[in-house]
Amino acid sequence: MTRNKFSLVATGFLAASLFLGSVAPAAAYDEPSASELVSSLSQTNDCCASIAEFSFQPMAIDGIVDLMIDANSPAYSFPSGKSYFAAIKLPDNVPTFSVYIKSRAKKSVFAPAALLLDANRQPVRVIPAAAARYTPAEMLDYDSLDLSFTIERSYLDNPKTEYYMVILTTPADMAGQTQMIHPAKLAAERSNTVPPDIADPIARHSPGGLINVELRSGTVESNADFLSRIGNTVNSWFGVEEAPFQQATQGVQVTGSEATAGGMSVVPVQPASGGDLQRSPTPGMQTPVARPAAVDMLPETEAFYNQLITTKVDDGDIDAAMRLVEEAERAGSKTARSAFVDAVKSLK
Amino acid sequence: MTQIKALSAAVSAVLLSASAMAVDFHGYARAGMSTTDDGGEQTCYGSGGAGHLAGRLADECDTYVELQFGQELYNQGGKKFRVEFMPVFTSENDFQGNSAQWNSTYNNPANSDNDGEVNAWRGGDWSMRQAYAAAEGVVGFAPEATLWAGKRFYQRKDIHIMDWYYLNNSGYGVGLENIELGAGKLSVAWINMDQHVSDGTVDYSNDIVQNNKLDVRYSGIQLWEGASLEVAAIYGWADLTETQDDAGYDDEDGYFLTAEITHGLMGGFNKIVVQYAADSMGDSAYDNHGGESTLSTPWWGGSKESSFRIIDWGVVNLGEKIELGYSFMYAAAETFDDTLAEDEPTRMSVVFRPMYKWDDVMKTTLEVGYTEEDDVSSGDSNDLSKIVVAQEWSAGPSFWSRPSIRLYAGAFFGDQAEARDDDGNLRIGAQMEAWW
Repeated sequence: MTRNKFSLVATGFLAASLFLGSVAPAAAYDEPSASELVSSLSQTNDCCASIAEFSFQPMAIDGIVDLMIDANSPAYSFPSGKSYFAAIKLPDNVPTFSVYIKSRAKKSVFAPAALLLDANRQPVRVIPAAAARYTPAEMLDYDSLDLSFTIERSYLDNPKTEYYMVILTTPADMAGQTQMIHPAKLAAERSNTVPPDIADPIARHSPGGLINVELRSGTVESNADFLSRIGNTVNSWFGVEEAPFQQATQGVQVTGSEATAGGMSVVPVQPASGGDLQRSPTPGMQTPVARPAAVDMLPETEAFYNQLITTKVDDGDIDAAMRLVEEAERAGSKTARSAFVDAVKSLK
Repeated sequence: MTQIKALSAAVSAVLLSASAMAVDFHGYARAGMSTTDDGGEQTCYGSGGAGHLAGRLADECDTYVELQFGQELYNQGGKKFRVEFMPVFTSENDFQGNSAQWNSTYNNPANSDNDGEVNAWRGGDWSMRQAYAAAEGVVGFAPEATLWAGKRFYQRKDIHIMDWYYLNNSGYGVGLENIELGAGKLSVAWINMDQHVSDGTVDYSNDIVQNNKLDVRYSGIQLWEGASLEVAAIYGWADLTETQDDAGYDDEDGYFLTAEITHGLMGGFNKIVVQYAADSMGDSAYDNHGGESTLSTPWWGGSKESSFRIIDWGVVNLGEKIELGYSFMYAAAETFDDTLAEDEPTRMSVVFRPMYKWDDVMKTTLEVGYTEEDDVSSGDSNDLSKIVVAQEWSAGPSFWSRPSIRLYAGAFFGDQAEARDDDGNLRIGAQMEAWW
């Protein structure tokens, strides 16, 4: 190549890269300050008199939304404590689908819990933040705390079918933190070299953060391939890869019919034997099987269940209260039954 | 209802077996095109084997692809079995595949053995660089430890921006890794290395002497808040056959010691490494891939009888938008032959790679490097410096995010560049680097 031609090519090359470079750099994510949100939350009044009065944002099946939970979000004093929240109206008239909540972790992270309500906006189910799993950053996916669960729609006449979802956190969860994985360690792992022996970054739990919610047809199990896109499993060929780090276990879920301990494989677990079969929320799966391994329930989740149970008993809805007891016990509660008994006794 | 139950059981069985059968596909790859001010392909001062003492960016003339297939075969009751395989392809960027497909009878002058194959498809080599099995929870006294055997990359340590492996005792071996012992973790391995003996006191050309290496590492010794120490000792010795012994082959032994302090620094880390090597392993603290070779007899008089090296390198955040990779290295050695023009050569290298992150995808990367080393034959000291700027597009915001597609422009300067008539010669190119 002659000098002139080369200079021309080289200049064009650099100009092209600068031009490519100047095209709309994406806005960086400015996460809300956790400590500022703690103080603003304490000064914020409840948005509404009851959960039923929340303003629910509708979402369609296969929809994806980013929700910023910050000082502009509504707050409410839930039985589990005060929290900013996002309220979503789940789609009607669609078959069973799954919910994926990804909460972005940077210096802080919103530890997401989900409260599911029936058509009358009464609580049916709580998925505690303890069920959320950390997924390390991979390529363009950020570090995140992920929650995934199935919304059962096989029996639409079931009065406990879930139509509303509230994404919240609890004061106890806000006091926690999530240990992430340093990107240099993951890179070393992939390069077959020894990861540097350094402390991993910590995301303190915050009253707010950026939440990505996706609704997808089918159950969490049937969407396992989809999960592999979300997580760090893009490189699996013939199935769903186990995440390389134990903390990164995906798709752990706690549902009415299924309760798995963190880190266990996602095995559909059926209702415990000896219980009242008529009360099983999924009549198709009534055969007695072994109970799942005990799950350590967070004290605030336990308190939340107990509060719900007491409220149901006070309302005279013993059946609902009993189901909550069963569900709480499946999820690891040790005090739900005594809370129920106490509530019944105090009815006199 | 029974049918539904059976169906759901079948579905979950399929899902679970899919999970157990999943093959993890990981890998590494680099390839690219280039041209220079003078015309033609760029010349490169380093390679995967020799490292890049002035930094690797714009200095890689090869295609290199590692394909890694791993599978966890069993994981129940605390017992895990896993296999890993890694076929690797490498070639220089000449006469391969697509560059000469249009003429299938074209003879590649680089091929000495013209055996009538379609030469356009030549130009590279494959090697099974890893093939090993690892088992956890199988050793009674240390259920946390991993027992392994086969051929593997063994606990390698590298400076990425130089492609410099300052500790790389890889090959065929057996070992027990990560035994919890006291404050840290102990790993022990025995690894083979074959040497073609073609020089030394007795010249039995092309005979092979096997050498053994015993590798002991102790990691995770906490020093101060956020800092830890790892020590590694490798002892190598010749494993002569009786015939070789009777014929009077050399049977040099030697050792290679490493101490490494790692500490967190500015959102990243810094490592301080001190190494010493002697006798059969005398090259190890001087050259790339230290710990790989133990020589029953030196290659030649310029092989190192002893060497010492100090390294400081790391990757840190200089702000939300800027990450910096850097390395400093100084090595000194003594050659076996003390009549050489320079029998106490030294080698130093400094490389900086700051990176400005425009967004999650695009980065502007600068790499500047300087190196100087003594030529043992001539006694001259030759330097080389480099400055390169690259615009990179990569999947993710981190210094470590890959794949990356980069366009670069830069030049080399100094004695080594002059020797190749490349001093200040502008080079431009495009390269991809990936790991996944």
